[in-house]
Amino acid sequence: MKVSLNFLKDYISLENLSIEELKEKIYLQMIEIEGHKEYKHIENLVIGKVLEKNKHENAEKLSVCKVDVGTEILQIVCGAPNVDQNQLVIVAKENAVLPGNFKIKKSVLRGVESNGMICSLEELGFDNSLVSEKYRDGIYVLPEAAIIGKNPLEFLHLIDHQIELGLTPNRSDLLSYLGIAYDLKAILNREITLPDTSVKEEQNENPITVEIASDQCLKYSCRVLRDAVIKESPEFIKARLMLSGIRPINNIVDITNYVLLEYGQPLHAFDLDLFSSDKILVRNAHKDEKTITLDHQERTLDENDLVITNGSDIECIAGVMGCLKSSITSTTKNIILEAAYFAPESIRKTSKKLNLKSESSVRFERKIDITRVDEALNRACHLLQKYAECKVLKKIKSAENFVQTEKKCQLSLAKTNLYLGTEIQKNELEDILQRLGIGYKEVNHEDYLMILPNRRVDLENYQDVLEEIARIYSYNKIPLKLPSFNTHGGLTYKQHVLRFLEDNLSHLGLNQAITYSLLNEKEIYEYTLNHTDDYYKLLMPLSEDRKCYRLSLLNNLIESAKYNMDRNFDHLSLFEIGKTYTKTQEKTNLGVVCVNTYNSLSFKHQENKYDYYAVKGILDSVLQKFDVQLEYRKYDLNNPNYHPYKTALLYYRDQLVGVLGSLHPKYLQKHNLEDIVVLEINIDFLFEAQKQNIFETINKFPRIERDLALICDLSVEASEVVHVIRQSAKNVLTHYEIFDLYIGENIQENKKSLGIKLTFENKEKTLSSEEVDQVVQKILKNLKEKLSIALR
Amino acid sequence: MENIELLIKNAVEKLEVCKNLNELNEVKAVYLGKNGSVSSIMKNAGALSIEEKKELGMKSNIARNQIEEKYNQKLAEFESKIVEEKLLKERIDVTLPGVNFNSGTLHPLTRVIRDIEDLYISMGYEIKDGPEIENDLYCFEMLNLPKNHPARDMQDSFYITPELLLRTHTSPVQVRTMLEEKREDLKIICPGKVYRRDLDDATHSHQFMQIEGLVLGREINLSNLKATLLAMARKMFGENRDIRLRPSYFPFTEPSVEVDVSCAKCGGKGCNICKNTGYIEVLGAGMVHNNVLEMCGYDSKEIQGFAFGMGVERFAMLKYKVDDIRHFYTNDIRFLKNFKGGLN
Repeated sequence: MKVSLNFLKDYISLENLSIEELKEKIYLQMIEIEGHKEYKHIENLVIGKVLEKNKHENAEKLSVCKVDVGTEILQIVCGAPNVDQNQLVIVAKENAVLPGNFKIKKSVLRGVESNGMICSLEELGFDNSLVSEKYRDGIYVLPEAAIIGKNPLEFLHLIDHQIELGLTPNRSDLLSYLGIAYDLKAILNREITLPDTSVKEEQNENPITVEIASDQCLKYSCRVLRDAVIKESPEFIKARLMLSGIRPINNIVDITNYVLLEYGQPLHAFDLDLFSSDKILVRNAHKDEKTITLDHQERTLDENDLVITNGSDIECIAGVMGCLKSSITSTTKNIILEAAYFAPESIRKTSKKLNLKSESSVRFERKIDITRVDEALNRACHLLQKYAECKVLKKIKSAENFVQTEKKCQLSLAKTNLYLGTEIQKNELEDILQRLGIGYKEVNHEDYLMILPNRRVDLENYQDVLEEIARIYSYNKIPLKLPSFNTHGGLTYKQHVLRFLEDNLSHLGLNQAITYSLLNEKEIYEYTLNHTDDYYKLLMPLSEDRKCYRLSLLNNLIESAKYNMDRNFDHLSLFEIGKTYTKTQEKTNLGVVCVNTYNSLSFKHQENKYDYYAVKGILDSVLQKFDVQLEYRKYDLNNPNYHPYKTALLYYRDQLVGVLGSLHPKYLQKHNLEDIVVLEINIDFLFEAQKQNIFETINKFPRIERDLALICDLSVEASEVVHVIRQSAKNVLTHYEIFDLYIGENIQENKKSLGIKLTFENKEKTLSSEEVDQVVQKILKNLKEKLSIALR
Repeated sequence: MENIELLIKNAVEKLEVCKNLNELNEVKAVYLGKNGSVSSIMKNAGALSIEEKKELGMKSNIARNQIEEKYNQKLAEFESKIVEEKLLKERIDVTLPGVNFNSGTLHPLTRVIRDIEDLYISMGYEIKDGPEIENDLYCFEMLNLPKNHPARDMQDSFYITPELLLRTHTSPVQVRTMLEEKREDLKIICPGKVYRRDLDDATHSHQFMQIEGLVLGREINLSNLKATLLAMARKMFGENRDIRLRPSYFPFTEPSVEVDVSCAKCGGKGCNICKNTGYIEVLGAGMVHNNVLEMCGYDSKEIQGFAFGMGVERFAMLKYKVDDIRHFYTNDIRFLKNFKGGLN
């Protein structure tokens, strides 16, 4: 809502209050301010009269004018098509500075001297959309009453402040100057002045009969006015409309808008003679009923749209837009003026369906004050009598469809202070209520029955009143006190686990990423371990790329890695912990993408490449914290995007929980990717696997180590070897470590050499070398029998 | 007798001019060896009296001691020289860089969330998590967002079905907690991802993070809210910060307020950071609407409370001076590595 300060001052005095003070009061106690524009006095701007208009010799579109500015006659070259002899115009003389810091200087235009500029309103800082159509493509022409040599901005009432309020949906009362004035009354503790609503009625009675045939119209009132003189509105009305963001059209339309701004009550005027009936019937439209609106568009309506008819034809789409047929034109004489209350929901739907949003529809949607419908109607008639010489026929004709009730609530001083944490006194509270226009009666000791003002349609109960009290008392006077009760805060085990993972992964060199959860549907299965059709898909995505909730973190993690690689940052590692969803399951996953090396460019020439084992090591390292045993099994899934022999499937208690390895070379090539190592694991099982730390007595007997170099088939996997060794050695083997893998010279083809260090201990006694040798023999025997493994 | 003194003198002089350990040992052998000069002194003593033998023995001991002393002194000199040479050979360039263990980073949003979580944990809050895919009932209906509220429009939220959507705020976690726990005294915060149907630009993101808080009790009031938010503002933006509350509207709170923090740069005087207002808008808050309390199973005559909600990105942008919200989701390694230093 754009507010003209001059307009506002009609209803409340703003004396002894600087603009900055006023803005601060509004900002801190009423509503957010979105903008402030000052329309200042401009030096060397005068009213002038065009005495002569001649064609420019060298320029088709320019005119050379002689303009009387009171003190002198200036030759001015003007490019406006509408400039003409005898017009009273706005002249910017030499040295005038127009908005945008545009300084007027003497100049020569195509060989002709020009000593100033004849101005349009746009050049004076007004948006062209607010300028009446007549002057939109040219200079602004003043009415005859303008006096040559005087200040045109003063004459046009255009020296003012415009403050733009950022309205919240609840404060529909602030969509009117009176509403703002009432609120300032409470904030500033000043009185307000109400508009004159007196109407001098004719003898003849309003002939219209009104019938409401829809529950979406709660009240419909109208008056009939005769012999209107359609013309431009007085300058102050035009100025106030413009500064409130409404374009002036003619006095009839302008006055309906003026009252809309004053009261927040939308009005609509029909040409009585074109209405061609004495009957107004408010009803819902029929299915596929058509009408042509003011903007010459044909509109197709249905049963949800509320319309005003003359008994048969649609004359207006209620609250949204009038129809062309009975609209006010320059030849209109007799008028039906409507003021009504339409149900917000109905207007909202229609306005949205037709994509028609207007000053009226916005107000109806946010609810207007049904008790002031007739008052606003009278106010408009008062102004139309004054500025359009209308004769107002006797009586408002009305139909109503509602039961008037008072809005009441009960609130005590004690509850007020308990709720706000204040120590507001009884007299203070009563003063605030009075200022707000809330009626009250003390029904018990310091306990009030309150009557809430109808103009505040948002106030419904005591909690709403508490907000009003806090606001007027001032939020910034409310004391500071932390909640007094004690609770145990803290992280849950799951939250600890998540923090642990984040901390440790980052300590191990990975960088935490956060990616978007939404994916292109085409890519949804790119990295998944199984196909499932039950992913979530948006009804109305913003783009195809953000359509489905991810099934894997890897899509966007790899995308992020690619983003960096494309910029030549190609030694990197990212991890993300986030959710994935199917329709039946929410999962928390860890995703890792590693590219190239994890400590490159060392002068010690120890470049360490991120490969399967590096990433596996990272995972094993963080999992040590938990009592979990992961199994790494061969990749045997259908997803062809993974490298079949460099990828492991991760199992926890025989459940597939993740994947670790490389992508298929074909896939890498297709997506222009370098060799990267990826890991994705569902970590929900970690949230249960809590490891108990129990002290185990330190073994006082010495341990014995044996290194074995084993020759085995290439196809034999380390886990198989270890399994046989552990089974053979039973509990004297306390530790093993694979320290060497060799394939190549001096070894048979299809064979590999594995170096394993075994540590033997006995907690009860010193192990003898012979005992250990026996165990090793047993191990070797079993390795040979079960896996055809020999010592190197 | 004079010979012995001469012998000592000669021996000491010879030891003195030795250039290395070998020479030293050779000289030592000449004088102190089995057949060395000192040993031979006594070999010629056969003709002497016992007295004289005694005296000669004493002198020969003195000679041995003095030569040995000199020898040991020289030996120590050579040894320390050898050690020194050895150490010198081991010299390293201490200014070369350390081995790159390449420590990683936590995402800046994680850092901000943890900061806020830790503050609230210290004030006795629990942290609650909830699903990102929510039903309309918890996301809107039970939070008093009427059917015609813009957020419930298909245009503004990511709906999956008319009843299911990507949550637009973490408030439904509050609803879930109230319904499940039914506790009279409740202090929780709910961090998490939320989604709105906004086109991504420098200040908008279709996905972002929020932290919402809820405190319920018999006497929880607006003053408690103010003090709580002031504590947070000071923790996040510095001890000298101040806050200011002003009227706003949220369907789930009444009264509803916007909360501004005094500008860290100018301290409230007005500068380019705060657009000359002296304050920066950081979050929304209010007293929980009675309708919400009632729908979530509380008697609004007995229990009252406050709630607040903030955008994590906004806090991070202010704290780390990040100028574009998209940085948080692009994962440019240069951006992420910015957050290596500091403990938060």
